[in-house]
Amino acid sequence: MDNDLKTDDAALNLEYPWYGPAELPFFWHARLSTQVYTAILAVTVALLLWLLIPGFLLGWVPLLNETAAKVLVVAVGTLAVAIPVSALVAPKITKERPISYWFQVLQDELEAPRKARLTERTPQGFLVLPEVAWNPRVNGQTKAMTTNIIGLDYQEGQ
Amino acid sequence: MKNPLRRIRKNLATDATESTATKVKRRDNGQLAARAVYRNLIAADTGVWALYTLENVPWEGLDATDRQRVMSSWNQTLYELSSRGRIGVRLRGVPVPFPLHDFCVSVDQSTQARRIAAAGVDTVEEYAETVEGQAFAADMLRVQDYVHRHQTRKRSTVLEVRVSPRKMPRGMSDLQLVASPDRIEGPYGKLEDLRLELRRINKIITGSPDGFVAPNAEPVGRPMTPKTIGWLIHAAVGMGMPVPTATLAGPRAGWDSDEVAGFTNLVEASQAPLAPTTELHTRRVVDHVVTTEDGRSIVRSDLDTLTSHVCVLHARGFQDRSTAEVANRALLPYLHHLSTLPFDVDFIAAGELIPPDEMETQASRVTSVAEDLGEHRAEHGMRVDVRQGDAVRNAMEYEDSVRRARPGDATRFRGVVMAAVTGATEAEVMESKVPQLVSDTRRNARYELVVQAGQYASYRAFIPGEPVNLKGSVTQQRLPVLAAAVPHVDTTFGDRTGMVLGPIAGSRDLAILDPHGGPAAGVSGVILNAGQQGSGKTTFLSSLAAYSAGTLAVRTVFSDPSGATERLIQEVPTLAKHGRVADLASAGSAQGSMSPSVLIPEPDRAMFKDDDEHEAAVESAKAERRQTLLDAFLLKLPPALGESARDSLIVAVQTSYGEYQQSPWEAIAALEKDKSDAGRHAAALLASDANSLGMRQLMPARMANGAPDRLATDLGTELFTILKLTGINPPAANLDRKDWDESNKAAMLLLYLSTRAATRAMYADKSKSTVLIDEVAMQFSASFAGFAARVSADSRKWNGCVAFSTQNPHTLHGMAPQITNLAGSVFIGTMKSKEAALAGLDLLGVSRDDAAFTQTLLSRRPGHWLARDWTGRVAYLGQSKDLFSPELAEATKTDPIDRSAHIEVEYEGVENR
Repeated sequence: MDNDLKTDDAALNLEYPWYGPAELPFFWHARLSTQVYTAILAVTVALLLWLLIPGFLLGWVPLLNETAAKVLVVAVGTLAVAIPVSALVAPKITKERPISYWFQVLQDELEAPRKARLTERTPQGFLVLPEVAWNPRVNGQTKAMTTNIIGLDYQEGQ
Repeated sequence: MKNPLRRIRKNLATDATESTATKVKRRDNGQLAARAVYRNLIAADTGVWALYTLENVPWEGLDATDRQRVMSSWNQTLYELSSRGRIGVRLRGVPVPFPLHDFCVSVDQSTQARRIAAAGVDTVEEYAETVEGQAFAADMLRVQDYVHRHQTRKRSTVLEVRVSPRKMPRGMSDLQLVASPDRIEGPYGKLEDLRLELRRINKIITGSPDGFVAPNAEPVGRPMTPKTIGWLIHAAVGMGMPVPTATLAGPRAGWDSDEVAGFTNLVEASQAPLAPTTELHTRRVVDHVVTTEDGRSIVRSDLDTLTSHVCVLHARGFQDRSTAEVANRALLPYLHHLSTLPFDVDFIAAGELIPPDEMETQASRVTSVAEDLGEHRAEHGMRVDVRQGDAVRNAMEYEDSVRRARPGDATRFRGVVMAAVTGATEAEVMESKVPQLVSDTRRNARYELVVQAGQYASYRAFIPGEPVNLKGSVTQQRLPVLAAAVPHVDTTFGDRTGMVLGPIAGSRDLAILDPHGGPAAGVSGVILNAGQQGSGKTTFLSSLAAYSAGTLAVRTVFSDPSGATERLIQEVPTLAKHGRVADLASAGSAQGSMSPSVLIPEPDRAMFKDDDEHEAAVESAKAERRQTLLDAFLLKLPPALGESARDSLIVAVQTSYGEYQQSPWEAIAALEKDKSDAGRHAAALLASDANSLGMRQLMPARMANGAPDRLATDLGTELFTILKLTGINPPAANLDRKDWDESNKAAMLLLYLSTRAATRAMYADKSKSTVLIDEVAMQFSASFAGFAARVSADSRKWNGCVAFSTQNPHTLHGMAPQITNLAGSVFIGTMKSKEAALAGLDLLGVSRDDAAFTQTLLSRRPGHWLARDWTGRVAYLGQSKDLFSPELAEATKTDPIDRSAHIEVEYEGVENR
């Protein structure tokens, strides 16, 4: 049977791994964009480590001065964080669910109203409904009416 | 320190493919994006949307070619929408409560006058005290109870089209300008483009730029009204909760205790972190009638809290399918499938229609990625495996389909497809409904539904005008793929008012049959009913009789040769009061009571436009009387009598018979004067046979002085009459006519005449009447085709419902070659043999090639019908005995073994042991 009803999803969700130069392939199979995200993550982690780790604590490292020791620790720490994190996250980020989707989900989850807050009756989480006092027949005639309800202007058409 | 997330949020607060839209910031205070509603337009933060309810399209009764035609026409509509460039669309399926109030009111109003007159009282108050009044009230309550217990729903499909991605700064007043028929000039001239775009969309969907549907037009959809849009917003916001009557379509007056009374309070939505459902709460005022200690009835209002859990699932992994599979019903259309589940499923397909020229760059990129990939693998010394080959082929096919296909096929829908399931508790949703939905979807529609995080935002997407997250789980489909999802398949059956039959397969709607819906719709009022023994024919006809005589209070004649339905009069009080049983075969039946000259009444001049037409009808009635008498005489005469005797008989009947109330003895007298011996011999044979069974009913006593007597009959004048024929011996179906003995001939003659006698009730006047004929057996008569054709045409003119029932659909085929055209409605029950099932399909007018239909008819489920209604819709439905009154259920019990008694006996045996 001719499967003429095909979605484009297979073609569009084509993974695009970057293998690196032929002599130096990447360590694991990952999408190009994931590798870019890994690089960004690595730089961020390195920066944080550099800022957070006080250099004088590393003075005891033999054969290295403070700065060199700090560079070494930051490099090792960066790899130790970035590689497992990206290896764990990489399979989740696909063409079908790109990183922007995950940020959107994170945002949705953070913004979703919580039950605990509802009990305090804050505006959060209340869907303000068009409260229509629907009474279109007045003295036997249909009354064109506009009810300004919170957020929704409602009018019967002509 | 600034919250880094805030910046990220700010950057991501735009929908991916709604990028041309004004940036929509999600609201934290739960306020809806919809700002103003005018006619069918919504001004929302996501742009201006025009909403239409799609007209349902027939599906079940069509053959594969016609189903393909439905898909292409839907494809064409979607293509036309996108012909000017990218356009946002949403297809939204929503379950709609069964309009119980409208139904009960319409049944009451349409039958009230007749019921009161039949009960012999003057006022509604008096009627309520009568047996009939109480039975009617009980019937209505039974329907309400059934609708509640079975959660009956209809389904509506809404098409939302984005007229403009821009936000309307002045809401309502802008909408009024955009909807105006006149050109916009002056300071608001920039809205003119929007107005023209709306008119274009209106033209495509409704057939008219103004959005008004012409009376005889067949539009794709109809514009929604503010009232229905309000209803849709309520139904989406309080998903899974009762919807307010205030915004339901239809009158509200007098229906304060409606079971679909809605919430009047705000809806509180909440979602636990990463929870699979969104929890909704609201309150509504419920009125209870309570009796106080001193015996007074007072209305007490309570605040009732309602809770609903909504789980939204995203569709992904659409497997390849073919148009043929969908057209042959091997696969369900993938959006329609979501309406076939036994619980409420809302769905939405939201996204954009993108013309092919906007996709060319993307298509080239996909191909180059695929090719690059192959090169890289080769560079790394890796073999290009099958998957890789597939990827390259897919990419090239994709590019080809964008560049070279016809624009209608190459246009894409890019968006998300979501389904929402609701329940009272999270466990009910996640442990029962969602697994069933997921597995049914995989099996019947071949795609996956998955639960994702961010449930609250997904639930919001079902509300008109709200932003939809199009960043993930996006599917891109050519228009033919989306067209094959056919969300608006017609799953209704029957009429708006009438007898409630039972559930319709593949939907949650109820089948309703108005016995006189045929004449009302301008088609024949004939119902053909066929099914093997025990398939539920007699039960079907009995329920129709009880509804017709009891609820509708119209003149009803039930021709039931076996007399088994006599119990209707014995058991059902309303029928007992107005009914009688006429045994046409008994020795006591009046002689000549079924003579053709009284069975075929004289046409009334008042019923015809002019004298010529009346004259033609009078002549036609005469011809039919002659033909009926001839059929009867020829049946009784021995086949060996010879041609000359037949010719003499024909001449005698033709020349001397035909007047209304004329005695058949005049025809015999003419035959006695025939010149030939054979003719006189035939006359002598008939005269000598005049007192036998069958002939006695045909021939009155011969007057001694030879003067013609005028015949009369009172058959069919009561509100309810059962015609029975006890003690007759019909021939076996496969017995050749020349082998019939006298008793067989008498039986066939009586069956033939009783059919005529039953239809007589229709001709009394032009008010509604119902004629039910069980066990049709008229294969011996050549004139029956003419009779069937006349009844078919007359049933429309005379406002009659005529049901023919038989075990063998071939019998009905034998009635007239074009019987399918003569029938207004057809009910085919379970069949034993494939041949009979195929003959049944021919009666229904559906394709013999559809194996699913044949299997359905062979499935041996009594009380289930593959049926065609007055408007030609085909559905498989069950007749539910839950809707019968206890008396009717008792009267239609045909099972010889009383199972309940049987079980009791067994238990007693165990106890004694």
